[in-house]
Amino acid sequence: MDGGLLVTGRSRPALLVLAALAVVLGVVALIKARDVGFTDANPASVDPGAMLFGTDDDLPWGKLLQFNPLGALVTFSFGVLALIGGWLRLRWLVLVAAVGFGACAIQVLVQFGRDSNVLGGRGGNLGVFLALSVGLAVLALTPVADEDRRS
Amino acid sequence: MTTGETDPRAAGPPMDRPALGGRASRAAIWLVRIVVALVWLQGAGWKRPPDFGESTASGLYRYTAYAVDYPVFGPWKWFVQDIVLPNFTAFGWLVLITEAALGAFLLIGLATRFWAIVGALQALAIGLSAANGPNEFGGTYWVLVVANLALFATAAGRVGGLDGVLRPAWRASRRRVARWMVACS
Repeated sequence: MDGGLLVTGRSRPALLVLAALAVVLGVVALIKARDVGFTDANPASVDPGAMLFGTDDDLPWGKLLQFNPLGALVTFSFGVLALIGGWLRLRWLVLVAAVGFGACAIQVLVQFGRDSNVLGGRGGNLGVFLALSVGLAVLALTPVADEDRRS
Repeated sequence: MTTGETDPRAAGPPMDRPALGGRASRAAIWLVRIVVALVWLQGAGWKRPPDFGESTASGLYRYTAYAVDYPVFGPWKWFVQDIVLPNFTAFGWLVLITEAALGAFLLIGLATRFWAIVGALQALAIGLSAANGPNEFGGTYWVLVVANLALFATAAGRVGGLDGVLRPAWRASRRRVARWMVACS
């Protein structure tokens, strides 16, 4: 271990990629959600199928993720936090982002399908928030092996 | 768990061994993992709590009821009719969380071999429920079963995934959770 403050070794590039993906997702979501209410419960979808292949957004299985502006902004913000944490090698900052994405996942579980859904997410968002939360946390917390410490 | 390169049965001239080490093969198995993960995320996307379509006989409820209305396998029909449908809300939550977790862990390539087995079983359960339903192409579900088995067989998280990044640290650790992660990756 390195005292619990730094992100080092092989974990760091992977962490930066994961954080960058969260930032990109947040930006795309902000663009897609620009015309809906800030906390709309059933907002615009971010569907790679529709964006890449022109499939019908209205099909029930055509939607992968959906965001309102608040959900997009939160995703972008936690992504930026993780990116800064990875860049500056600050483990605690990465963990803050991981906990934040975990809270977003819990929000989807609690509010998706109800009248109030403040981040506007659905089941796909639950998976992505879980991936970002667990991925960032595991990368930040896994002790660095000797072979990595030398690098 | 080991992969082909350490298996003595894979011995022989290099040109006759399974092509799992080449760049094209690694890119292909990475692509399979990402696409399978997106399929699971998309599956989680249309499961809508809190009743998962039970009140309107739509959504997940309708597809699950295909197991009874258009049975594929007798014992599965009994299981769905007598166990799943009477407890549908709990079942709906289980499906939503399982499919979201499948998408999450396969997407980042963490504990990939474990989640690939979970995915194969989940795809099998879906196939046994919906393969004979109207306007369904049953082959889709069996392809999803074997796609998940392919992720297991190739330890796909070691290619462009967190398993590949973290396995050296897990192998160097004596902690029980690290040993579990080695086994699951």
